Amino acid sequence: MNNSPNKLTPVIVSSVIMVLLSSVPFLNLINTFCCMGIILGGFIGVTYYAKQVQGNNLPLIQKDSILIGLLSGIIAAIVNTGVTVAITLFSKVNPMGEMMEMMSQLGTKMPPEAMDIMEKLSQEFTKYGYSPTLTIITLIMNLVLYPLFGILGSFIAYQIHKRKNLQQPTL
Amino acid sequence: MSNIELPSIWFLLIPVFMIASDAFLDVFGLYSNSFLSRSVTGGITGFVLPFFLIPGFVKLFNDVFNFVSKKSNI
Repeated sequence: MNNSPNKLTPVIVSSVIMVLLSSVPFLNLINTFCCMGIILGGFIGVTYYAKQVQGNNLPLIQKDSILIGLLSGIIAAIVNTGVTVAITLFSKVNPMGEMMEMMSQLGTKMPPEAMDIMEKLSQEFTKYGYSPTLTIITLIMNLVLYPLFGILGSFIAYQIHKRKNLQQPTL
Repeated sequence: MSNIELPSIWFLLIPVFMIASDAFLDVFGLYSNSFLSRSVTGGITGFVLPFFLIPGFVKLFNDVFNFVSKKSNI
């Protein structure tokens, strides 16, 4: 019988941290350093789970730790894409239009194919308030990045807690 | 589709280490990466990642369906 504590709470804690660190302005700049916000989310989720496990005098299992990072990454990827779409809809901003304007001001030359794609995305923003194409691309990218870095964060936390447990004297 | 067993984490960590070293060596000016090196390291990571993502998705949706079915039975 599996007596390990419920993994739902650590997964939710971890995914909330990932979403907050990815969508709050200025706070999301942490992700410019190797998606550190996502790694931190996975790390905190496993740390929370490790405390629960240690409280029940059970060993921390590597596969459980990795599963927490993986599941929270998947949930955070889906939620964060939704949050991004909601923010775009409420702010009524056309990021593609702004980007094209900024590029023309800076004098940056883009290939005509890239300009065509940006123009199409900009038209979608004007028509619907958000871009369905960009949302799907963002979701696919997030579904790769968030679980990957979530797993890395949870693996780092697992290694740290495993070493701590080894260093603790047995009574 | 009932398999939720994850492979060993080292199958993911080794390709991630390769992709990271390819990027960081270029950033620090020790080695200039090429289209080929980026394609190979990215391709290996992309090949390995579904072996982790698919069991994760299956586990997540199993848990969600179990939770919903338990609630609907109550």
